[in-house]
Amino acid sequence: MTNYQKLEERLRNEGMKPIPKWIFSLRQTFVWALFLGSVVTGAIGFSIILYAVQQADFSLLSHITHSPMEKILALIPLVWLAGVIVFLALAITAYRHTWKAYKFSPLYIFFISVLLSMATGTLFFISGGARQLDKVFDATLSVYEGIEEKKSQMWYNPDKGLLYGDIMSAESKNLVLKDKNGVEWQISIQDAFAAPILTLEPGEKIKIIGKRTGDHTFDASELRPWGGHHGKAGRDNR
Amino acid sequence: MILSQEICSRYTDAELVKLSATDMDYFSCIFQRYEIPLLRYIQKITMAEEQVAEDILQDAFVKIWKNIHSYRSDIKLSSWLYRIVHNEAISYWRRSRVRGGGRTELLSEANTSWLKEDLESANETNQNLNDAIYSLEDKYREVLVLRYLEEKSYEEISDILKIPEGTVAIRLSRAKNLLKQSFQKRQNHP
Repeated sequence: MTNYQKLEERLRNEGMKPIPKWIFSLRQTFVWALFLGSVVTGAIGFSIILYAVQQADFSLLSHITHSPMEKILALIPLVWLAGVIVFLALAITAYRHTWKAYKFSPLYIFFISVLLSMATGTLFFISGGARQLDKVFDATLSVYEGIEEKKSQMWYNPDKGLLYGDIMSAESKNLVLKDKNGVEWQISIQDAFAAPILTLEPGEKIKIIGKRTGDHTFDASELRPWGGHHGKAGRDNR
Repeated sequence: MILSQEICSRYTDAELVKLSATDMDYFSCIFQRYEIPLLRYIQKITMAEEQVAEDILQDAFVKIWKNIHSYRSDIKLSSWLYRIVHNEAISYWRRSRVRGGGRTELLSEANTSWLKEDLESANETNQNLNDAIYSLEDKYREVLVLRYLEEKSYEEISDILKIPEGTVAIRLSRAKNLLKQSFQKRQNHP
């Protein structure tokens, strides 16, 4: 009996059949879907981190009594940071199960996944998607604290010289601001520096650095637009 | 049924894989085409005796048959077959090493000249070379056997071992250095 005859006999006796092709196709499709899904989810996380960084007003840290590191950590959404790491690991694991993944070193796969997530995330951030998504999560998930909410908590601190709200009326030396609780503040802007892109018109939402001078009076030293740095990515819908 | 050499020779590897999936008889063509080189490879990598090598080959071909639909023609069929056989052989090798089973000689006079030339050790006997290769870590022994005894290209070794070609080159270079060191050590302390 030849070796092949022995093999054939074994295959027939044990009723062994090839695994159907669709199972292999499905497996590969699943692996690629997992890879792409992980890259996209990682990208969304990265875009929200970008949004948080953009909204963080790092220049403000000197006005705050907490340690800078503490404040940075408070502003960066750690949930998303953890999410990015988890989905990045998932993307790498999925990619390593593709047919020819062994052609590339693990380090190369890591960099490709990171680059893909960062590029997609940056596009998502520029298009304004990160901000919208953060709002949706904030509105629908009770446990989720949106970046806007964190920012609002940070900027509503009149005793520490931080205030934000909508302009009710504006003159050359004063303006009236309505804060988030509906309280109207008299703001002196005589010596204040205003960001060049800022327009002091009724309805405009702004943030102010300065000094509280009374119950509802405030001396501004700097005026900034609420929406951070411009463009679709961080601009408020008013 | 075993198809004749004449019928088998009409088809390429890729065609035989397709035909095997629908008609088992064509699987015999694949088996016949690769039986001898694969048996030889199993013996080189595991140093197992012939009967044991045949058993390993049979187990490997059962896996090949079950997974025949997973083969994709963007790698050589021979590389894919070597990969499955390699995995089967390595798992046997690890088991047998634990048990401390016997071994056959790895090298014949005919297939060592290229390796000796590369190692600049023409005076070494095949027995010495055999012992030195046998004492190497699995990952180094594998690449040496595939490169020098099976005469596979870097790309084929990469496909068989599922590692990047750069890693193949690194392992090969380290394996040769380890062999050279082993020879030097023996010359200094005969």
